[in-house]
Amino acid sequence: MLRKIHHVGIVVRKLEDAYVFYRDTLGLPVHKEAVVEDQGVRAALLTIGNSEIELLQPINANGGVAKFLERRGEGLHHICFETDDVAAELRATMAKGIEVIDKVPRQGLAGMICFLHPRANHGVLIEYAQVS
Amino acid sequence: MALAKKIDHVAIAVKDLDAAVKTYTANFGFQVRQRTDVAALGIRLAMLPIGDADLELFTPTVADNPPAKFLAERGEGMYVLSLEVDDLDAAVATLTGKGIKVSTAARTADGGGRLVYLSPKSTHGVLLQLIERPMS
Repeated sequence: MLRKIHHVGIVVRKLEDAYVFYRDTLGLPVHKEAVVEDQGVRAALLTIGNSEIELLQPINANGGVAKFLERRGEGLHHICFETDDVAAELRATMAKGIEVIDKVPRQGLAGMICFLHPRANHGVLIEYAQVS
Repeated sequence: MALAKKIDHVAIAVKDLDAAVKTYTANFGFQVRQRTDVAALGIRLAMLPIGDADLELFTPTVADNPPAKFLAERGEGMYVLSLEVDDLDAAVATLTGKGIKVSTAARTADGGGRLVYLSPKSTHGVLLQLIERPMS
């Protein structure tokens, strides 16, 4: 079961520049920041209520986030729903014939995560996360 | 203290509202809590609760408004991030004082409350809405 919006992901050129607005102006605390090599990003989670805003900065030219930034510029990138059991949720999703990007969960910034294909969800890149 | 206290909703622009509602209810088990035709904005929308927030699926009902242009240029996808504030006037005063461009004067939100939009130039490309909900 999908419990809530875990985070909304926003692609930015540089985390430090985005902190000026999201952390300093909106006042959202940064509670986690890390490099996620297999996604080709430096990412930060900023707490807002029961959810987070995730800022994503590409660290190499080849990843999906770098391509998104090049093609569309900074902006809204994905939405992540929290689940208690990401493996079961992903299996149920695949059993419905919904196109996915990850066939098995992998480690992300929020915990174990997987991405579904935007084609399956009206242009929205959707992520599931099981918080660790 | 944070100026914005929670995610109120995420709005997703779609070409066919009924098809999108079908997708999101079938794929994720979400329910529609409200459907509204907002003639003043030239959109039809459906609100689907998730936790303490909503997904808003919406489609333009006129050919030349900003959502219609967004759909024509970029296709379906995430369009607005809406954050709830306690005091909209205080939030706007704080933001304006820091040089942030607030792009429209406060107007009444569908479902109650008042809202403004911040220029994507100030928010790293995000069409960001701030909304003050009425006291319940």
